[in-house]
This record gives sequence, C-alpha cells and structure tokens, in this order.
Amino acid sequence: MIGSGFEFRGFDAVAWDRLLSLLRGALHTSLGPTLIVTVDGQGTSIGAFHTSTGRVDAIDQLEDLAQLCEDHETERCVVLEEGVLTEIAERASLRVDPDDDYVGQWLTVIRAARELRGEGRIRLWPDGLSSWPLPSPQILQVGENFLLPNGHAMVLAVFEGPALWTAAVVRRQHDLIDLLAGPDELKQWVGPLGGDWRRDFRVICAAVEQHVAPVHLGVFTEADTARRLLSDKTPGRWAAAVTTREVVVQPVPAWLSLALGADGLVGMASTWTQRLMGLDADQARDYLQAVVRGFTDDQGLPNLLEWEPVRLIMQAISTRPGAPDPDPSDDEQDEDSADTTP
Amino acid sequence: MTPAFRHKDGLIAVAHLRGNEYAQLMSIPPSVDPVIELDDRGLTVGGREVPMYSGAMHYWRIDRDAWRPALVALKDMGLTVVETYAPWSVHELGPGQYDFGESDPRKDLGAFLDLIAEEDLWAFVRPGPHINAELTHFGIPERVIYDRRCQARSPEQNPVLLYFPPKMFPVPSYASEAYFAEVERWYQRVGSIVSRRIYPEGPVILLQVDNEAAYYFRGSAYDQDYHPDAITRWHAFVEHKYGDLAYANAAHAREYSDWAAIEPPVRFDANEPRALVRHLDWSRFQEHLITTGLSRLRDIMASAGMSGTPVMHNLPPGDLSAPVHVPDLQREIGLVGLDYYHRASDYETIKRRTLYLAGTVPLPYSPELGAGIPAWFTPSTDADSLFCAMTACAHGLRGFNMYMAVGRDRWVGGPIDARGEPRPAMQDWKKLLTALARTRFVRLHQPVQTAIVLPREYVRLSRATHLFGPLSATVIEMLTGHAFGTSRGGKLGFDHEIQLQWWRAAQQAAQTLKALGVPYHYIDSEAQEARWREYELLCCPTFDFIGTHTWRRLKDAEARGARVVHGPATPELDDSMNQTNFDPIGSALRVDWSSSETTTQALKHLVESLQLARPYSASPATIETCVHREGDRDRVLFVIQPDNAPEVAAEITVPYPMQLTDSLTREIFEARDTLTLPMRGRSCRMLEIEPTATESSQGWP
Repeated sequence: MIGSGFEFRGFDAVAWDRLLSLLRGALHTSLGPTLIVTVDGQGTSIGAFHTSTGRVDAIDQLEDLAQLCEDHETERCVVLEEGVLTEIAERASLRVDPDDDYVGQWLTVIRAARELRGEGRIRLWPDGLSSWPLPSPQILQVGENFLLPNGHAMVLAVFEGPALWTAAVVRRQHDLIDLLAGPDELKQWVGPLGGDWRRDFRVICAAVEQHVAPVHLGVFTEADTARRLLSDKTPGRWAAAVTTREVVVQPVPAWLSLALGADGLVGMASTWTQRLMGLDADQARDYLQAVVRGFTDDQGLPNLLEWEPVRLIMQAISTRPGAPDPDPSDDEQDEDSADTTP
Repeated sequence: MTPAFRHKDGLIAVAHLRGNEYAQLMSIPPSVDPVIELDDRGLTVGGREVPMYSGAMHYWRIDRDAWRPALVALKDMGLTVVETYAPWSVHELGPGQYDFGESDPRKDLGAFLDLIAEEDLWAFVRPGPHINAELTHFGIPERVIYDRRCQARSPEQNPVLLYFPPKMFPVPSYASEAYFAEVERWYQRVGSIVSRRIYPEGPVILLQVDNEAAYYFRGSAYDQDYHPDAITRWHAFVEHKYGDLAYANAAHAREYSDWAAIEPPVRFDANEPRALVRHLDWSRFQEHLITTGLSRLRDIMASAGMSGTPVMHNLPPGDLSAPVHVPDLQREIGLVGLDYYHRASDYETIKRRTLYLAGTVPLPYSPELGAGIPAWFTPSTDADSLFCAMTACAHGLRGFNMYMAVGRDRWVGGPIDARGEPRPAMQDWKKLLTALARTRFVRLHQPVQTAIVLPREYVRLSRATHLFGPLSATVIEMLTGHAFGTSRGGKLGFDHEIQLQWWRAAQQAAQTLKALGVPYHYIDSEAQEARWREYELLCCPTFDFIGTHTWRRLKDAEARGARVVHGPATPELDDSMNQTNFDPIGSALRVDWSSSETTTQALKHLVESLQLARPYSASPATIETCVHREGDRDRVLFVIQPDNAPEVAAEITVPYPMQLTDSLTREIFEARDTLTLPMRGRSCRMLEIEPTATESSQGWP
C-alpha cells in the first residue's frame, strides 16, 4: 500500500523495463482487449467499444457474454447500463476516505461497483467482480506485515556478469510502502562493487541497512538465471537454484525465502507494480492469482514445496491478536478475506 | 516599461519589458533589447533567436549540490532553456507560510533561477496552480483541495474525484472564486521571486499558466462543473449568446422565467435536433469555462508581477476529445501546445495530434515531450521517447520541452540522472538537438497544401453523446488511441449518426490522402482565419447541420481559389438547429466518404488537377516521408517505418540527385533518382539534404 509520501526513484528506462520484464515473465499473464457495451434501461445496446479496435457497430446478442467475447476476440466484456459509471463516481465521491491509502480508496470504489453489479446494472464476463473477494485494508496490512514488517526493506538485485542489471529496494514504514528505489540509488548507497555478486550481496545488504532500513529479505541472482527460473515450468526450480547458489536469498532462512521470500518478493513487487500502473479490478485479480499460479505453474505451492505455506500464513494471521477469523464459512468474512489459495 | 502584447498575423506575442537592474547585477549588457518576440517561427529574445528546445528539471527534487552539474549536463546536451514548475504544495507550509529555501535549501527557487542565469541559460517557469508533476494532489495544497468552496461539483453537487495515484482527491473548480482567491495568494508569493528575474532583469523568458486544463481528465459533458460559481457563469454565457430570453427559451425548448432559471443539462436526453441545442450549448460552455478560467489565472499571474514574457498553456494527451477550445486558448493565452507521452506503437496518435497542431496553431509546440515516463504510466523505453520526438518533428512540431531532462522522484528515465550525471540516452538526444539546431529546424516549413477540417460543432456533439460518464473520452483516447468511438448510436432525428460518422469521414479523408501521397494537416474549424489561408484543398465532413461559421470559412476558402470537398450531406440546419439556407459552395465536390474507392476517385482527380505536391513517394506502402524546406530548398527529410516489422529496404523517389546524411548515425546516402534506405521496425531517420556536386555546380541553392 502506498501513501502520499511514496518515493519512487533511481530507475532509468532500461532498468525499469528490465524489472518489469522479469515480473511479466513471472506472471505469465497478458492484458488482452476488453469489450465495453452500454445498454439502455431496456437492456438494448446503444453503444459498444473494443479497447483495441475502437467502435463496434453491431452487437448481435447480450445473453451469452462468453460467446460475445469470442465473437469480438476479447478476453473480457463489460455490459453497463447507461449512467452506471456516473453512479459509481457519485457513490465513491461520498465514501472515499482521504485518510485511506490508495489501495484502500480503490477498494471503496470497487465496492460501489459491486453494489451496482448486485443491482443488475453491471454484467461482466468473466465475472471477477463478484467472485473476487475484496480484502479489507486491515487484512491487506496483516498480509503485508507478514511479508515485509514495518521498518524493514526488501532487496532484489539482478546481475549480468559483474554489473548490476536491475534492482529494486522496497521499504515499508507506518503500514505503508514509502520507498521503491532502483539501481541508480542502490549504486549510490553501495559504491563500487567487487565484481562477484555472490560476495557483493553482503555489501549491498549492509548499504541498504545503513541508508534505508534493516533488510528483511534479499534476493540476488543473475539475469539469465532469473529469466530461466521465471519461465521454467519445472517444479522445484527455485529450491534447486538456491541450493546451487544460482540464487542467493539473504538474510531470510531458506525455507521462508522459498515459501514467502522469492515468491513473495516478486508477488509483492507485482502487486505494487499493478497498483502503480493503475490496473482495473479484473486485471488486479488476474495478477494476484497469477502471482501464486505463475510461480508454481499451476502445480500449486504445496506440490512445489511439499508443504502448505498458505495454511501457515493463515495460521500466522489468525493467531495475531485482534486479527479476523479466517473461517471462510462466514459470509462477511469471506467477503473481506484475502484469497491466497492457488 | 509596461509589458505589452500585440497580435498580428504570424506574430503571437511581443513583450516589452522593464528596467535592467537585474541585468546589471547579472552582467547582462545594459544595451540589451528588452523585447521577447514569439512568432510562428520561434522565439527571439533581445534580438537573439532562442531555439524552442528546453529541458525540465525540478529543483526541489534535486539536491543542491547536483543543481550545477545537472544544468551543465543539460547545456552540454544542447539545450539553452531550463523549464521548471514551481509547486504550490511543496512551498506552502500552511496558510500564508512558505519555504523558499529558508528551511530546505532545495526549495530555493530564487537561487535556482540565479544559477540558471549564471550558467548562461534561460528559464521557463510554470507556477501552476495545478502542475501534476506526479505530486500528491497534483501540487495543490491539501487544505485547498479539501475546501469544499474550491471543489468542482458533480450534477449531484458531490466532489469530483480524480483517481490518480498515490492518492485520489477532489479536483478544484475552474470557476470557484474561493479557489481563485487562494491562487492569488500563492501567485503573489511566488511572483515576488519570479518577477524580479524576468528578462532582461533575469533569465525568465517564458511563463506557463496552470497545466493540462481539461477538467483533470474528468471532462465528460455531464461529469462536472456544477459548482455554483460555474452555474452563474453558465447563465451569463447563455445570456451573452442569445441576448433575449425569448430566443433562449425557443432554442432550449424551455420556459425560463429569467436568466438565472436556466438549468444546465445533467444527462443526455435529446432525441431530436431541437432538443440537442442546450446540450451543444453546455458542451460549448465547458470549453468556454476553461478558456475564461485560464484567462483569469493569467491575469492574476500578471498582477503578481509574472508578466512581460510570452505565456503558454499545455493540453494533455487525449486533447481531441477534451472540452477545450484550442483556437480560443491560442487567442487568449498566446501559445498552446500539446503534451506527448507516447510509445512508438502510438505512432498514429503522435501523427494525428501533430497534424492537428500544425494545422490549427501558428507554432506547433510541445510543453511536455516525454523523455522518460511517470512511474505509473505504461512503461516506455528511451527508444520510444526518441521515436516520439522525431516523428512529431517529422510531422511539423517546431519546438519541445523535454520532460524530464533531469530525472527525479516518481519518474522513470530522463537523459540526465538526479545527480546531474548523463545517462546513455543523452547521446541520442544530443545528436537530435544538434541536428535541429544545425538545420535551424524551427525556421523550416513543410509543403502542405491540404487540410482536413474538424468541425468543432461535431466534436461537441460527440462529447455530449459520450456514454462512459466519468471515464471520459479523453481518458479513452489516451488509453486506446481511439477518438470519438464512445458515443451513443442513433440518428437523433437526423439522416445520419453524425456523432460517429463525422470522425470516420475525417479518417477516410486522411487515409485516402495518405494513400495518394499527399501531405495534409487537420484544421480546427474555429482556427484563426490566417490558418485557413494556407491551404489549396480543404476536405470537410458535412452533415445535416453545421455551424454557420464553418460554412462561411469554407465559402471564403473557395472564394479565394481553394477547392472544397465536403459531404455526405449539404447542411440545412445551423448549430442552433434553425433551418438555414446555406449558400452552395460553387465549385465544391460532394463526397460521401463511405468507402475508400469513392473517396479516392474524387480526391485523386482533384489532387492531379490542382497539381498538389506529393514529395518523396516511398515503398513499401508502410514507409512514410516528410520533407521540410528552407525557402524553396529541401533541407530535411524524415523517413518513418511505423510498423513493428523486420528491417526493409525502403525505396524513396527523390526529385533531384542529392546526398543525405543521417542526423543521428552520420551515415551518408547518395541518391540520383531513388534513395534506398534500410529501415528497422518502428524507426525514424532524420536525413539532412545536401545537393550533389553536380547539382551544386548547376546553381542549386
């Protein structure tokens, strides 16, 4: 979650593109076109727009939205009653709390949209708006606390030969991500590197600790390794890479770095990235699911690790004083719980 | 001396400036000519040409010890002007309390401007109030943003939220008197620093009022602004238009008891022409509100001492669909430009926007041309930024402000980093800027004899019928590149779906002209008359109704010898939906624009009979060329491959033997009849033309 004082610095276009290319590879996801259809009060189409090709003149039917998507070669479609976006905006303007962070504010807008979907004024295919549980800001905070506690930093440094290829340093303070720094900043903090990243990572961690915050998790590897691991379908690839020191995870214990570190870092980074890029709710949902799915190639974390990290997370959350009960049988709780299952 | 501006053809602004105390202080010769001129060929300061190429650097985001290295690097890159915002929310600590370096040395605007002068650079200052710059609340203090009196209003009198990161916020109103009063206090304070440094007393030679004034991307017709002060202005607007309440009642099909009873429409509810009038009036009023709001801010800025230089304003991507009136802004403010944040894949949008600028305003200029990208935009590469700059120049952009020249917080890229050190991307920018200076590019012109008219009354109709409410047509255009595709269908009592068809007609004309190899511009129907005189062929979509102003312009053009192609209909109603007997345009050709065959058939004959220039034809068909001339001499040729395709050997027909030098790679190509050029996918070459020795000896210029 980012706040008013969020700092983003130290990326040139090349380093940023490299970082995003790794995340895109990790997520195995593409953002295909959307068909948006507006209907009048009788449900008759009065206008349709394809986000790639523009205006669509003829909409043959609106009963089978999956077929409609297929007919128009879109990944999703939205059918909106005329004026419903105005209604969302009006409701949101009354409810969005200036003190909420950006994600919290968006959750308020999405809730307003979901109300109107419930009133039958919005139809979606696939229907992400109803199936995607909306976590409360508090639940998001608990999850993020687990991955990156307040007052700590995460580091991802990717090398090509002896040189830094791209990097990201993330700091969390006062329940907000307040810094995302790139290689330009990191180089300034670290100074000249020795040329062997398997040794240099210690210098990097020390420099981040000195200039940013204690490092909760650091992931260090080479660009080729990162690309291979992020596109390789073989289960257990990360574990093997850590064992052979193709990937160095420091300072987090190996089991945690596997379950919640390497995966978690990229997952968190991708979540922040999509927030930064302002993706819509469907895309965000896809991304979040892809974070889990992409790293396990649909095998699921349990198959990959031979134990159940999600259960561990949920247990950890549920044992926190005051944390909500993760029992999904409660409707309201189900609504507000983070869906971390693959 | 009192600052003064005068307007005449080709001359945008002349500013006579004040004494020279600061000039003495800064060792500027006292005899310096205290005049800044901005005309359609660029900027002259004290008799010296100042190229319209500048670079953005945000002093408050850069450590003080990096200021000078950054300025030196910026100068080394080939820039002579430094642009900066002055951010209200950064300087204001509380009501009436400011920090201009007293606490945080990075905020010392005066010292920054003095350092610019020390480095023999000029300054372009943009004091807001709205600046965006990826600042929280777009640089406006939170206490102002959350003052309800300052907020724009929805039809239900709710605040109007902008959804940009890192915080949503309610946007201010361009009509709010309370907001203007707050801005006045800010301008007075920042003006006390800037005014003392305006040329010739200091380095400031350009000012900008506000930023991207398009209702903060919430500019749909019925999204805002229903602020009480805006409604008062609406009443005055209608009264000014109709003069007599009876006329207003007839036009709006209402029974208003007095002017103050005239309610604005809050949703589109017209299904026949007469019912459209109040919607078109409201749509026009929204443009008017921006123009008058900016004009008011400009006056407040001047009263705070920030005057004596040309003033400009910038419009965001998505401008075509935005409720802003570019020609009126041009007349009122002085210089209006467009901001460019495009990837190479957005080539058609870059081209379309530049051709609109080139057709509509005297000096096509970009106050923000992306060198890098905001952190929350779709990522782009250094190659994207350079491609955008080069192709915009190719189609007629005559100046730009590199935004950002110096990297900073919440920004990706920029040719100079935040410590003032050059990044690798700087070398290509330096080559481009050097070539633009070497060729005196701002002084060149293009042989464009054809324009496609964009009738503003149809733009307003498309906006009024936009279906996505707060997801404005501007945002849709920004995100997808498609303009005017989100209107409702239906003929609204006409014979055509004008709100959709007019733009398709314009696009059909553009595609046909491109296929025929004829360069063209887009001209706003309400552009100054001088702009219309540039063209020998005008293509204009015309439907059941049209503004009498647009028709008169077409008639005038025909009267002075231009040919007019219009259609598919001959209008019978004016834009107040009154039956009007439009005088036929005698020699005009009517085209229905419905297919490329019929359009090509009609235009091909005209192009040949008028002997319109079709310079530097190229193959394969995806390759585009743009030639720029110095007098009668071809000086620069741009060759563009917009497609993401493997390298091809482009074949370009040249009018005479010539030698061409690639401005960036310095490769030299010889061409007698045909130039063969390797072109990579999504690439642009700028080629400087020299005659061959043989041609030179024959007296070629």
